[in-house]
Parts: sequence; structure tokens; C-alpha cells
Amino acid sequence: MNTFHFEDIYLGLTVSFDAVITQAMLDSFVLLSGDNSPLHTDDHFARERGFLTIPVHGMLTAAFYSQLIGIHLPGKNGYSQEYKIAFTAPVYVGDVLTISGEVEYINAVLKQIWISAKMINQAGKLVSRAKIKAGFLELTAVR
Amino acid sequence: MSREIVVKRTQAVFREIFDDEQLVINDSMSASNLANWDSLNHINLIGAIQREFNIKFELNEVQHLTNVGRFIDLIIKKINP
Repeated sequence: MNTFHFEDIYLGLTVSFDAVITQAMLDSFVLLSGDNSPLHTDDHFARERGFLTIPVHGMLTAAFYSQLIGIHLPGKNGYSQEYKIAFTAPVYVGDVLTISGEVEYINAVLKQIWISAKMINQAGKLVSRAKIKAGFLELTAVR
Repeated sequence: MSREIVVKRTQAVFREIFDDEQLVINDSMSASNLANWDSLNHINLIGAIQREFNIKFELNEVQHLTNVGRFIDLIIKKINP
């Protein structure tokens, strides 16, 4: 887990990590979200509609942006404020995603950073892009 | 830069932040009468306006930005020192 403080951040700071999409993730997300649409549970249904097989939910992959902010950039001292996400290509069980984020703007007066993020699969295809705003946690008196 | 141009560019920022292409700003507009002007969008506004005009606010300045008119006045003060 990274522990960037606001003062450590600079324009262009980039982090990345990999994630493998598993069947367990898909099954868990169906339960978590309640989205058991046949698109995500019925192979024949998915293939009939142009997919190679069952695609995972876009929002499942979006969870990795949460990891990007909470674990990598800023990490322990950061928290998510806003996400704008586009799902640009299907993602399937077995895919290996590289998730990366780059600091593109620093709002110094209010300690907020803007991150341009993306996910690329093992074939180099862009499967998701996002604009993320994150803040920094500060110690306060325990309530 | 004229106030008219500042207002026009600020309006574009407000439209982007509030995701409303029809939004027309005025000096008296504030968090009390513009939906979704919450604390997060206030932070987003500060950042977006700084970036749009290539200026930097001080903490004591942003604390008094209670309506659009004050935003405009401060932007003009920053870009026309």
C-alpha cells in the first residue's frame, strides 16, 4: 500500500498494477450488485448478442479504480471523491488488466488531485478509461 | 480580460461541473439556489476555475466564495492584478 502525502504528489506521477479477472469475481459481483442479467450469466445469450462469451460487468472492473485510489494513488492517505468512467470494450473471465493512473492536475488550495486512469487488457486494448478526483485524509480528534 | 469574457468562461466551467449545458449563471447564484452545489462540487469548481484561468486561489480567498458574483470578482482580481 502506498502512503503518498499531498506534498509528495506531482504532475505526471503515474502508478499501475495488474488484475486477473476470475469467475469468482463475476459470481461475487452478481450477488453483490443483484445484476444477474443474462448478459452476465448466460453464455448463449451473450454470444447471440455479439460477445465472445459472458462479459463481466463494467462496474466490476470499475472496482479496480477504487483500488487505484485506496491502495496506490494516493493510497492509505487518500479517498475517492468523484469518478467519470467509460467502458470501451468487453472484459471477460481470464483477462489480465493493467490499471494505471496519472496525476493530471493538482488543486493545491483544497488538497485534491485529478487522475486520468485507464485499463488495458492483455492484448493492449483499452477496455476502460476514467477521470477521477481524490482527496487526502487528515488526522482529527477521535469522536 | 473583460468581465463579460470571464463570465462566459466561468459559465462553461459551471456547466461542466454541474453537467447542465443549459445553465445560465448570475451573480446571486449560490449553493442555496443551485441544485447539486454541494461541498464536493464546490471543491471541483475551485479546481476547474483555477485550471481554466491558470490562477491559484489562497485558502482564505476560497472561504469567501459564497456566490457566483464573488467567484467572478476574485477571478478578475487574479487575472488583472
